[in-house]
Amino acid sequence: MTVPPTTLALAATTVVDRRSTLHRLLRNPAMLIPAGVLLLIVLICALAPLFSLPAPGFADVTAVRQPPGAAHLLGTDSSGRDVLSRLLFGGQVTLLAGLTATTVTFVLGVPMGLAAGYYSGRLDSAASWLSNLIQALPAIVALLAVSVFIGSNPIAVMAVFGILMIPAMFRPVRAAVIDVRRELYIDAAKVSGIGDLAIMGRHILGVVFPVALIQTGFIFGLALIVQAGLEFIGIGEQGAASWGGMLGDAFKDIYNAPFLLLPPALAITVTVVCLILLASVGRDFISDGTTPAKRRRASRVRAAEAAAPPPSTHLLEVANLEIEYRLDGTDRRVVDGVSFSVDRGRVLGLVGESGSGKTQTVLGVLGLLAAGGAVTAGSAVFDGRDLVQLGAADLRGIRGREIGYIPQEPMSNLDPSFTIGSQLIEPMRRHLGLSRREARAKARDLLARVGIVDPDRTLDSFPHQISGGMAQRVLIAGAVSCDPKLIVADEATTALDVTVQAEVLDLLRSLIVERDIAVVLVTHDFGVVADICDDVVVMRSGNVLESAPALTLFTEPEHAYTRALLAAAPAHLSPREPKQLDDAPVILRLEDLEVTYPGRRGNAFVAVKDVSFSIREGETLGLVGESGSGKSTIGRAILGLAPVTAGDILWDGTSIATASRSARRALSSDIQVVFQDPYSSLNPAMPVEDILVEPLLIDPTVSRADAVKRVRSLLDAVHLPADAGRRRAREFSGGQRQRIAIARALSRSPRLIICDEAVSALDLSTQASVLDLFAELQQQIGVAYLFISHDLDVVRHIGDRTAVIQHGSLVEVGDSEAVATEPQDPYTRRLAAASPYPHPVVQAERRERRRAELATGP
Amino acid sequence: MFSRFSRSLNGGLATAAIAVAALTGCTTSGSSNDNQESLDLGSFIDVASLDPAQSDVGHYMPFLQPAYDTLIRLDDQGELVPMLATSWDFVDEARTIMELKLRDNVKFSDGTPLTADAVVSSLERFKASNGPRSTALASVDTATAVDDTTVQLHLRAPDPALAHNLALVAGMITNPAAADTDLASVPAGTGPYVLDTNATRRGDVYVFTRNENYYDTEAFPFDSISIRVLTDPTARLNAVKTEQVDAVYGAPSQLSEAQASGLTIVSTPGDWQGLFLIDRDGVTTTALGDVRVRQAINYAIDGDAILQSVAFDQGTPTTQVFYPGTPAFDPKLDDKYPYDPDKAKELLTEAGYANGFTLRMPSSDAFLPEVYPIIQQQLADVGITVEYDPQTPAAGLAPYLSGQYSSFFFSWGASQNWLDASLLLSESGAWNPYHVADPQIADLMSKIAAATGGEQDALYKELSAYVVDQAWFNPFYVVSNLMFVGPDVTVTPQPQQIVPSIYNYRPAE
Amino acid sequence: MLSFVLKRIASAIVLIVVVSFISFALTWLTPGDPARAILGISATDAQVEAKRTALGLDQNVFAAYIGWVRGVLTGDLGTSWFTNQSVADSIATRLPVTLSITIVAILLAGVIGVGIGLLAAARRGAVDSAIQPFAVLGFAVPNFIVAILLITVFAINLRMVPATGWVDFGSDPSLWAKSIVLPVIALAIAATAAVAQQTRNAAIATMQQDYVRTLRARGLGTGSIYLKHVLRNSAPVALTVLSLQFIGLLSGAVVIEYMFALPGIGALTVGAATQQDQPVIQGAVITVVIAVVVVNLIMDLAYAWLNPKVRS
Repeated sequence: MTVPPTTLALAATTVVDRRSTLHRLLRNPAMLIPAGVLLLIVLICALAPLFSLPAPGFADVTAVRQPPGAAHLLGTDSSGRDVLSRLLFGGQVTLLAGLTATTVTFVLGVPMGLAAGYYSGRLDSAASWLSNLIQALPAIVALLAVSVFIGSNPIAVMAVFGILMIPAMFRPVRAAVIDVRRELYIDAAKVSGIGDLAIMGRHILGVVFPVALIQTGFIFGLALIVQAGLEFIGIGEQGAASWGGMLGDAFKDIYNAPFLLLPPALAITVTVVCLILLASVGRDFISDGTTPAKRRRASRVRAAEAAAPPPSTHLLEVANLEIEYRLDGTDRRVVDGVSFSVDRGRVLGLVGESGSGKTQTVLGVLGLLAAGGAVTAGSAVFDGRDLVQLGAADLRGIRGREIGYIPQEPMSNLDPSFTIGSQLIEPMRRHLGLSRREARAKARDLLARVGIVDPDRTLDSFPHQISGGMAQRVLIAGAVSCDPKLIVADEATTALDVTVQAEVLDLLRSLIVERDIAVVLVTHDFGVVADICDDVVVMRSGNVLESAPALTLFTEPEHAYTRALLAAAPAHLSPREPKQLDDAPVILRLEDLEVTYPGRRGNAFVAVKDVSFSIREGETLGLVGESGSGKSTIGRAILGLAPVTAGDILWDGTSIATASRSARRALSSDIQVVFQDPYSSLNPAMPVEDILVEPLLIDPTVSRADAVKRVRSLLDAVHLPADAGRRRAREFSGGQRQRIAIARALSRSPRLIICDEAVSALDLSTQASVLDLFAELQQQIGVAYLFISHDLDVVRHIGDRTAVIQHGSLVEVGDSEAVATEPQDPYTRRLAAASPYPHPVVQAERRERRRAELATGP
Repeated sequence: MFSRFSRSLNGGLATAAIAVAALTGCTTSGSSNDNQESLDLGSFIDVASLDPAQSDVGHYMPFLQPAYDTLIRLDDQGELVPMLATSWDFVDEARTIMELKLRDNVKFSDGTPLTADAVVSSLERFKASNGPRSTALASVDTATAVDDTTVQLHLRAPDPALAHNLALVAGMITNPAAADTDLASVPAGTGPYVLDTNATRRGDVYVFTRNENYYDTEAFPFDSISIRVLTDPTARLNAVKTEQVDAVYGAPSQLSEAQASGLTIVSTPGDWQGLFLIDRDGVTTTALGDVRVRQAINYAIDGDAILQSVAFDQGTPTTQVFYPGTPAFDPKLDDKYPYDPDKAKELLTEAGYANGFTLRMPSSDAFLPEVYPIIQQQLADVGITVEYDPQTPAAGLAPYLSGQYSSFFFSWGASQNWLDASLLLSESGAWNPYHVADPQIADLMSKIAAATGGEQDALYKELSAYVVDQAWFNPFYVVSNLMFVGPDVTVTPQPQQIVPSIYNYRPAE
Repeated sequence: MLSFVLKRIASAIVLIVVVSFISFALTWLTPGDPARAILGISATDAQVEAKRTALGLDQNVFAAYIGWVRGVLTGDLGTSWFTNQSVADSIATRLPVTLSITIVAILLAGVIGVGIGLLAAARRGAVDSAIQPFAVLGFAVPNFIVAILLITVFAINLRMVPATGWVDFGSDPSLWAKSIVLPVIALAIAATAAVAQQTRNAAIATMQQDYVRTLRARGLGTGSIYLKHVLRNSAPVALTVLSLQFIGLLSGAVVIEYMFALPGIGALTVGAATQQDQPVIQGAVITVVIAVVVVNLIMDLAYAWLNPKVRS
């Protein structure tokens, strides 16, 4: 489960537009200059016959080693041949040879990489082995042997060099393909029934082509260098003019005619520099996102502007904070005059949807804004000092020591290369001056305090060896390790399963009381707010909409937006109208389904076992479980994207567990999918119309015009404007993209749509409207849903029945309302109890009940 | 006769990698062997084998001479003088039995005396070895020990080159007791020195110390000889400049640098370089069957200009294939074909090739690559189109000896007249790949084989004149062999050998 | 870990067999006549035939290859056809030369390249602006042109170091250092540029990781973050580049060996290949392939050491 990225991260990393990369590249000035120079070189060489030069082979024995002059602009060589003429005609030979090498590499390496990356498995192993083999071949011996075989013709030798360079093309292409293959839009295309070749052509080639092209630049450059090197050690075509040959000849004569060295050396160097420049600029361009345009120098408000911190009675008082980011040369204000305060022992909730500026606000206070960001106005007075005006060193003394920070995603916030212990010990030694042993002892106690059962082993573990919940506990331990006065927690529990979240919140609560800490908690979850916050600040678009004590906010929200947000919380969504479905035919039946993923060294992983359920026509079955429970795997198995190792899947009574590709293609008009991540499930570079038309055109009887007409009606059905079809997927917001994904799923009038966490990545308000859309569509066309979610409340709202899954097995299946209100299975009960209810009073009761239950029951 | 060309081919790319720092005046180390007890040479190539039976001559000779004396010695005038043999005479009228008298106080390095039996077994071993030079004794039918100090060689036919060959590797006598040991690495002869296997590192440096059993120690002033392998021309020049070695083989392009560094330059005529017009019957290229066409080619090429441009004028123009100063060499013949493109065109027209013809030749990058375009250009000037088939060094000598090409550019290290005539001119000669049989040549050669003294010399001259007239070849010039010599030694050049023999070195005064 | 190493060795053996056969067959089937080349210009056809038989050139390629393999298995790499020198000895004397210049060049490239790359990532600004052109030039300017410049300036004009030649480390370490300094620089520039650029990119990517922000939030100093956390997490990238560069240098150093008259394995290989000196070619080829295999194995072990996920 991921949370919508913050606006800025979003703006910076919005999925790279791949197909038009080439066009953008060509408009880049850094590309234009070398491209222009190259073109000039190629033109001059190609047009050499037009200049009235002596023939390149014309040897005047009476005029050898003539220095540059009027008769011979660049002089003559040791055989009395005109250097300029040889340079230009030699350019033809050299460039053609380089072109040969790159063409061979391209023509062989790209398909090889495509096939290996796309089909993986044995084909991939074979291709990779071949590539390794070629890499291990001593190139010199191979080139020598070949030059003897085929008479040292530079074109032929370079063709062989092209073969030797295949790994240089194969590897990046393969990697790029594997990268795209993981994108959900490829899965979506497969599910839509689109053939492999069409997928490769439409979705993969566009990504691979720029990679291959850029690699071609490097290989071309390398080919020229290697060719020159070969000529240099005497392996090359004799007599024929080529730059490498000229360089070799000149080198032999360097003592008597050093001026001969310059023209070929310059020609080779300039050409190669241009090629490499093109390639590197291109590579940076593709791999980028990483380099912010310009670093912002004055990253914090100047001290002179506000000499003394405004007096404050609060532990932290933020006043009129403004934060701007510079992107592509323009400043964008992301936080605009935010004020709030917090005291020891109190928890302040900073609430808002994605893009509201809540995370930027706390990062600004901590001085941890990403490159390009700066606090441009306001103050953040902490314990008498304005953090905004402190120098880097002073700030470092406060961070970690007096202010602890708990980040959102537990796994990505621990350095994967160091043990938990060393990461905990390092700040303690720095801030508290403890010895290694003291720090370790303290770290051990801390881990025990945050509820880690085996602290010693955890200290010696690496982050990948512990669970997400444990990692979050470790981060909390880290945040409190130096006894801070304030903790800033940025979506500290969002990435966790509800049961773990509840425990972590409990832990946090007890630490606050125990140590008298103030907390600023950034969250989008009103349940969490209700559970732990004393005061709440609601933010939207960088502004504070309202701030109030928690109870006031929930009972008398002042602002319409706040009310709308509260209403959109899943727990507040209305339960489902019961439907009469008993007479509807069963369309999908799972019988003792088992899915096992082959693991390394024979450790196969059983993701799903003995799962049986059925779905009737027009029914919505909610499938609820925590992360790793196997819920998504069930969906993927039905779609043919995960291997069924036992049991069966019946569609209209026919087994589809091991359906052939063609059978799958036929099924694609019946079963469709909407994935969780709207960013990766649509090819960002394709116009929406093309995305939606693609599955329709599989039916050869459908004309393009009909298909487009159908697309219009689909867009209408998902409430998108009619002109949306002409825009590219990347131009839409997350909610809109999810509507497009739904439209795609609907395009061939399926009878079942698998919604895999289809609303989890959306903001609350958007989530509610997309859920409405699902319900509306079902009413209109009678489609059935398998609705996979981690959120019991969401499933209760949309599902006719709910199935609960734990560790790959179903623990409970029943009427949604019943499962939600009177769960039978202890696990379901725990799940329901752990989910925080967005009202402080109700939540406090639930919490007590849960505690009581935990105390008594297993 | 060790050709510079084949050496370049054999030496791989050594020649191709050049001389950046021919310019360098840098010193690798100040220390040097100015100690006069040691002669330190820098060799152009590594020795292939220290076993004479498996060795060629030329650059290899200084590696072999310390440990092996020859039966006969070639002195620095090119004259044959006694060494292990005190006399070598034909004892029959037909000149098919040569009797050698051996010096009687000679011992091998292990102390065993040199006997006629040892000489016989050494010669037989050599003949059976299938080494590069084993044909040197091809004419010898049997070798017999008449008594302890007399050996008789019975020939199948008269062989005017036999004595000369006995002054080269064929005449180096190996110890029969060591015949089955690793002679390639550890020599066993009667020479003035023995290999110091501890100080020697194959491929890098070879060190010889005095042979305690040598009969004429006084003749060799140096207590030891070391030969460093320095394939790179720049490295060689640097080594002699910094007195790491006393003398090295030099390249014409390095001459001015060597002179500027105060080195002594020792020069002697070396290879002739030019075209082999081997298809004299016009089998592959009909035009070459016409003597006028071959002469036209001789007129068409400006050998003097090529000498100036590629060899920095280190040599003399020539038209003949025999070594300057040998009986067959006639200075007058060198004026035969001046550079005269008009005359060439005239001859071609006469022969019916006014519109020219096409000549396919092999070309190689390994040696003098700059000459090929000049040949191509100058022949094009008279209407002959030259097309090159580039050869890699791995092709070796095959393109030249297979008869695949009717002509080619080559560099020939001429030596003894009879050897050259046998290889280049006789019907069965390896370097007459079309096996052209010219009755005039056959006749002259059979007369030469039977003749001696002044009569033989005159016949040789007649042969040379005939070959020049028939234009079987188109030699451009004889290039000079250069030695760059440091201050500690003096050396006299060795005619017909690319580097001086070790006997030619003396400590400087 | 042991089974991992064993598996790698097994696949390496397969690789060596395949590569050695390919190179054997290529050389064997290449036209040319080593027997004639060995015997020189005065040999007769009969002599050449006899030599061909003696060398085994009359066998078919498989029989010849099997013969060679049999020799190798008994520890006999054979004898050069042209110099009669033991192939094992030649390699033993030449390998140190090539390894001297390549290893020193790679170490230099590693230390300097990683240093520059980290500095550029940490400070951006001038160092960072310079790194891209440096990387482009480092790649684009052939190392033999760099070598010409170096020789002209340092050997010829300044006379600081010798232009050519090789001194054994054992015989005089300081002369050894002098003899390799220019070749090493010529080789190291491109590698340094590549390492610097890749390290910089990796370090910048690492610096954008969440955990780096978290480390900063804990009040850790810049030095500790860069030298410990960023370096450690960027190291695999630098190592990959270094290993690829090293493999490239093993056969790519030949031009430099020629220019500086260094008797290295590259010069040996090219010399042997031009003469078709089969035993030497084969010996050199398997030496290089084994070196490549060893480098890759070391690299894998280094990864495992750096990356706890692979380790466990």
